[in-house]
Amino acid sequence: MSDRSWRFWAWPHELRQKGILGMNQRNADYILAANPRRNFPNVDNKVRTKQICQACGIGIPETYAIVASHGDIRRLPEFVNERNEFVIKPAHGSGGRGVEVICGREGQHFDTNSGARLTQSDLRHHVATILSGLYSLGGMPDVAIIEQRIVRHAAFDQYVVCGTPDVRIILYRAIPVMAMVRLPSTASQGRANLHQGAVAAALELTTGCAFGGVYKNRTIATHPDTGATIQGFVVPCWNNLIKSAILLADNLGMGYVGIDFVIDQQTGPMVLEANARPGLAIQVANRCGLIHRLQFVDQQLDHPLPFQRRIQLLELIDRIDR
Amino acid sequence: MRSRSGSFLVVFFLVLAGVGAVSLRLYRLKQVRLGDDNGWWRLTYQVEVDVGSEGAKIQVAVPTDKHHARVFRENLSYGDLQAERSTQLSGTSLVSFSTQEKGLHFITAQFDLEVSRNDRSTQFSSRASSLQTTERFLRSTPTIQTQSVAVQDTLKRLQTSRELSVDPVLQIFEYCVTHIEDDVEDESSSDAASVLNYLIGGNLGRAKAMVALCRADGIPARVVTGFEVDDQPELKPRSWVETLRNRVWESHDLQGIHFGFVPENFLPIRYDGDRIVFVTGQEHCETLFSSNKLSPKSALHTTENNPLEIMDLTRLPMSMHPILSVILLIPLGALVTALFQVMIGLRTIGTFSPTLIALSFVMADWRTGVAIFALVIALGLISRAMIDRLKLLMVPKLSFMLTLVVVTLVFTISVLDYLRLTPSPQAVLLPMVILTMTIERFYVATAEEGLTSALHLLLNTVLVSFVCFVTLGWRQVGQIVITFPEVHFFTLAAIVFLGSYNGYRLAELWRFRDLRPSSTDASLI
Repeated sequence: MSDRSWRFWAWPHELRQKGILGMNQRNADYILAANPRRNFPNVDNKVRTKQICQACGIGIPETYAIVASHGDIRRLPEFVNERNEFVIKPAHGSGGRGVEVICGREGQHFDTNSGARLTQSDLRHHVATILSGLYSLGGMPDVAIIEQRIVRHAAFDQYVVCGTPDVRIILYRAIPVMAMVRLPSTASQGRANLHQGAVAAALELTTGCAFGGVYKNRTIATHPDTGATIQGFVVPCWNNLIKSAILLADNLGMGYVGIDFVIDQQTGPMVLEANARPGLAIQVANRCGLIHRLQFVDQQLDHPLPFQRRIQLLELIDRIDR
Repeated sequence: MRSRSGSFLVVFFLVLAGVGAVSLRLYRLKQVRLGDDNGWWRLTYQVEVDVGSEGAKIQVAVPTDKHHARVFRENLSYGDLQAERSTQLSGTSLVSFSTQEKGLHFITAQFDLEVSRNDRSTQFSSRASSLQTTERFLRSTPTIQTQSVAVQDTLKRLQTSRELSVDPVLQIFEYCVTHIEDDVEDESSSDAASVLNYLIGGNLGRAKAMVALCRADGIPARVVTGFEVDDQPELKPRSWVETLRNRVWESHDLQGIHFGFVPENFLPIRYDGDRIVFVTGQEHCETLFSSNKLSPKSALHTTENNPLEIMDLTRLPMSMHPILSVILLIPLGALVTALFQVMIGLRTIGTFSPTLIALSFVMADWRTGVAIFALVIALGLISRAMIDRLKLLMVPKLSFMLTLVVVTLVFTISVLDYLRLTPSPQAVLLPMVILTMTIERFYVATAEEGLTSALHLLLNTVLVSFVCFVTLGWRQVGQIVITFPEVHFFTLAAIVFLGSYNGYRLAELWRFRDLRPSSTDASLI
């Protein structure tokens, strides 16, 4: 029996050899070093991220209303209007906390994507909780965003039974270094968060073609709900998406950032949110570490690189540790 | 790439500052101790009595002038108790306090002593006064059973092997030192017969055994209880033996193996007895004894202040010491939390919640603390689930929960008291706001991430709290931080080191196990 077959841990030198980025190194060497504190609100505040996206011409879900005070809560019916589908989320939330997706309506009753049925009073309470800061970073008072619900692209139908998949791209110095697609599963109750049981698949930066996959922190080859093979799936509108990511990273002013996209059936890629502290599960999905790619970017001279040069680099980055 | 050389430099300077400050403190302590023949000490008693019946009496044995010690200042504080001073035949000086009022009563007594290497026996005589007194120290008592089989058998063996020229007291002393194992953990007042039977005993038990053997051999002897005066935030009473020869009492210390004398810093308080504080009835009584060195200047001119004394926390009133040591322990809790976060990678509910919960357990009796903690969390979660239907706003909801936590806490203490499970009054120190937030976060985590994930978080919090509790509850640590607050230079250095550590967390070695080089995808579905 080989040493690896029974061992349920990795030695630090093994992870270093594979270039795996740990949480401490991510925080110390990349987030603290590359992300100026003054630019954090650009990503932590989704309202501000939306404004930056709009200024750059990058697609975002349409904002129906922003509820900033408890006095505005009584105007919720007016904000929601006759809409059957919408999303309520905190402006300073993270990890999908406090996001309520309404996917159906019957009079004054609203159906969520997890199957629950909410009343107007429930919605008002949820908005009040968001305003109180329960879901915000640091627990500070927050504002609630009511926005368009994304209708997922048909290309994902084979891989998703419920919820909306999203694409995460990690950019360092405004150069994409790693990407993955997150597919909601039955276990994640329609959410695209990996720690809640969503499936992740690595994406080639040049083509948006999926390979490998991870589910509940273990590697998989097929989707656990649909049985579809993950390898070979191509994210639609990939070139558009990667260009939007680079453009947004340039304008956010963050050196190390994760940008989440959703692909709408009608309008294509839209920015869902940007994250100054993107998680490390993307390495498990890609089955390789981030460090060597980040070091490769650092080795490039004359930052910031021209846009076209960055696109050309993607092919080289894709080959690192593959 | 962030440069860590700055951090390492800060760590280096902090360690250097710590070593320097601690060395300076040790040097000053040594200088004060060895500076001259005389030493000035403050001996403090703190007595807390919960009087349950009317007419309770509290007897406190107090120091008086002795061979090597002189009490030059005395300060007694006893609220509305009635005090009466008396001296027993044995020579023990007693202050008796009485009260008609039930409830908690506090007595604080401070004695400033001059301890000298010179024997002041010309001013103070240790001669036994009468034959009647001498006979008193030959009798058998319930704990010094001179007629018991164990005592008589042991004595018979000693007498059989005794040579004519051998001093019987020395022979008994040597026997007790060499044959009776010193059980340093034993603080009970075990009796002479059982100590001689099992040949093991604590400080007091061994002293009683020697007294029993002496008395059975016709040598008047008694147990003396007092203190070994030293810089100690918590001082334990110490017992030794006195034997009467030619109408002069001679001291013998079995623990320190001193025959015929005891060191000058041994301060006798109670003769022929072992309790410094004695309460009649079933009243609950807690005592804390401490002593600290007084600088000659503060001993002689108490009004003159030296700014350098600010750094010496031991000079502060003893009543402040427990709270000071708790405050000084908090950085260690923060260090443990940082260690778990950065090196191990455990997520907890609230960053410093484990430290504060552990701290409250250290202050209270931990059993009471755990019982109340579990009950408050359980009832809090049930209540939280029930009030969820009310759709309250966040802050009023948290206020509601806080009120429930407070009421639950207080009534749990009351119930425990009713069931005579003696709750610690400090149990109320459980961080109520932290408990409220813990309940809220656990509830939200259950709703958002599932029960398993929430329980995992709670388990992590309990685990980190436990490690903090073990660290903070370590008595010696509390004593060290108050005597040497400079050790926090090392704490700061450790925290800066942890802050600049960028290696893998222990949890990541498991999390990324599938990414080992050439690892096959063994877990493919």
